[in-house]
Amino acid sequence: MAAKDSVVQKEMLTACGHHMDPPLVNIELAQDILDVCRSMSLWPMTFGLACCAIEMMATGMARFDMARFGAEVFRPSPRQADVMIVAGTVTKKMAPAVVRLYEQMPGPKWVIAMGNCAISGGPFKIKDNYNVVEGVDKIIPVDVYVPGCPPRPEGLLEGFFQLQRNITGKRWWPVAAEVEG
Amino acid sequence: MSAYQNLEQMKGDFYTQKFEAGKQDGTLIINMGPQHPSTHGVLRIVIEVDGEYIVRAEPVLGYLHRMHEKMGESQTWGGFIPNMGRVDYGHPMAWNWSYVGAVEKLMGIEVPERAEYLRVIMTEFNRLTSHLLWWGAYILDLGAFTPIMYAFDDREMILDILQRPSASRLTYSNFRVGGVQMDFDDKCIELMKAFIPHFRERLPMYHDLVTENLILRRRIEGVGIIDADMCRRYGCTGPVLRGAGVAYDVRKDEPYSIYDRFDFDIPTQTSACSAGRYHVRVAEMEQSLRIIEQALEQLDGAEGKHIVDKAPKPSMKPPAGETYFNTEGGRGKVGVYAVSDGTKVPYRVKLRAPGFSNMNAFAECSTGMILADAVAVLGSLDLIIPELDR
Amino acid sequence: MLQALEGLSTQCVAKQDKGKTGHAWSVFLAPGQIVTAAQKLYESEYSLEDVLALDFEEGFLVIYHFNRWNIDERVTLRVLVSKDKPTVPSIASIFDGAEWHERETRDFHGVNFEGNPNLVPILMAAEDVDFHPLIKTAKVRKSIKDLLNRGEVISCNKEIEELFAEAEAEEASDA
Repeated sequence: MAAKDSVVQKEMLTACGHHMDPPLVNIELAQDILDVCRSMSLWPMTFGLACCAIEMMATGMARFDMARFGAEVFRPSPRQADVMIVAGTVTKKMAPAVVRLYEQMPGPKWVIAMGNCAISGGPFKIKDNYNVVEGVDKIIPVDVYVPGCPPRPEGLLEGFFQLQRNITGKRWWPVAAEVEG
Repeated sequence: MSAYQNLEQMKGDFYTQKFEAGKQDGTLIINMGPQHPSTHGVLRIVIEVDGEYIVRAEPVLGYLHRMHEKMGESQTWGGFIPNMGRVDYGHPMAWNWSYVGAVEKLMGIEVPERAEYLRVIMTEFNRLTSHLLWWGAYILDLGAFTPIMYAFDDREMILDILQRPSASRLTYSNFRVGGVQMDFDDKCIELMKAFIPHFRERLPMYHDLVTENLILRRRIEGVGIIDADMCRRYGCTGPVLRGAGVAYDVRKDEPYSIYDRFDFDIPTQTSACSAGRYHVRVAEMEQSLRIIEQALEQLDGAEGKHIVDKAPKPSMKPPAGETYFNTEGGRGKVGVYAVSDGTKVPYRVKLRAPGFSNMNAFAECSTGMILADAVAVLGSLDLIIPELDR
Repeated sequence: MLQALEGLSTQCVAKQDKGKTGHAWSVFLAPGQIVTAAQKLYESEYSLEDVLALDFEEGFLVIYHFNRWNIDERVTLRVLVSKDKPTVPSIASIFDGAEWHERETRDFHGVNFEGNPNLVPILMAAEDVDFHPLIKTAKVRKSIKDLLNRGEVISCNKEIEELFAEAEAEEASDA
């Protein structure tokens, strides 16, 4: 099974670390069942910053439908969300807001960095960069990286499956078959 | 040590403190954004409310300033085209077109006829995706969850079509100086021809179920008056201006490319409120379909290829000079002002975003309305924030 | 002669090739003349498209683009200010939209607009108020005459003539 705390502790801007205390009565089977329940109903926070937000919306719509995998209910408030999908570019002005929202989420919480901008600054990582934070993992801990500019909705769904694998230890959904020709 | 034990931080940041200077008694200063359930992106508006009524509003931009104009001075002329896909992800082909049109003017390149038709068809399909996204998101802001599902269903059909010549779903960068990246294949044209009657069937359904809905009408009629004089003072264009009664469309008033060959109307409304802007955009969708239909018919007779022969390489060197090129985007008049110094890197690229001017009018038109109406007005302005912040 | 600017004191008025440059008229003005020019354009039904600045060796060239809705006749107003005192009066009292455009120009180039009701950073972060990203290094900065075409001159005063004088002397010697 996956490690209980799968994120490496790093020096972050956040005052509080990303760490949950183990419960008083710690039975592994109960924890595993809870992990499966959590991973099957991850509630994302609407944190679409730029272009990737539209692909995130498309993933929630009828054709790709994240609701099948449990991630239907997009919560605008961080207090009610489990996973923060950082979809888009983080700039210097926005960075304190990102950190504050991350801190306001109650644990256990996860972060998916969607799109090249959230992974590394993307197309805006230029020599004279003066305003773009080069990757959201510079300010908050990230669990899954979904590359693309913007990633296809199928890519974001794959990111969810990886997150579910991180939480529960196994992948629950079949891998897409190779297309002939 | 919690971040919130620092009381100095609780007083707000630079913009809140500046706004507080003009505060009246008995009012509350709140932030709308930068993280907000309405899908407009990272826009922050500092509002002073007296109960539910807005006394003053001031938008704070810059949360998505991605240095496009700085990149314009460090990328090559051809290497800047992908930036144009990201400035306005709602209607990126209008920005693509404005930029390559400006470079073509500088270099004196004439685009082959077939490439012009391909550009028109793709840009009008892109306008449809932009308006469908706007429509779905606007109704979602106002509280209805189903129309966006239908809008995105139609939008996915168009994205399947546009994927074929551009290999992109959202941030298209397939325009090149001298033409477009790829020609349409037969399957693509077949899908396009099948889409038009399908969408024509759907539009009346949207009208009956949504546009005539009493709740929607009460929420958007008479809300957010931006009349023609305000539009002129702020430089508003696009559906905001056409909703105020002025029939100004860059495709007809500053014609570019082959738009003079098509027969289409410019829908206007005189009410200058959110409902007027709403009706203008819904009517524009039908006009885009008309243009696409006519262009598809005329496409077979077009001469030339999808790109000019000996198309310039990305490291092209346009002769020194300045130029200004406009196109009609889904949000208004998209302008690119480019200055070349004869090297392979531009001297200055200025991006004139329609949303920047449209948003400017919000502060004046929002005084005195209730907070819920502010949401209705913001949605009717159809903002895409990367365009405001560039 | 452009009717909207008749009777206005200017530094240089020239017709430009609309097909090539996108604008029909280009007018050089001194900083003190910009407000009256904007007033006259407002009364002639022009609307403001944008305000921007270019960084040249001679100074900052602040450019205003105006156009009408019913007739396409773009007018470009150009104001040249020196690097050590880049101050231009603001036209925000006439065209309210200019307030934001001027703030953006201040952000990118450091041009000061006197009379702008709200001259704080708009796109840059508040702590970057003194950083102006689009100012060029001396290596890549060019001169006005290398890049801009004076156009078909209607009336011109000595300063602007001198600005473009070298370029025309070179062209005459090439010809």
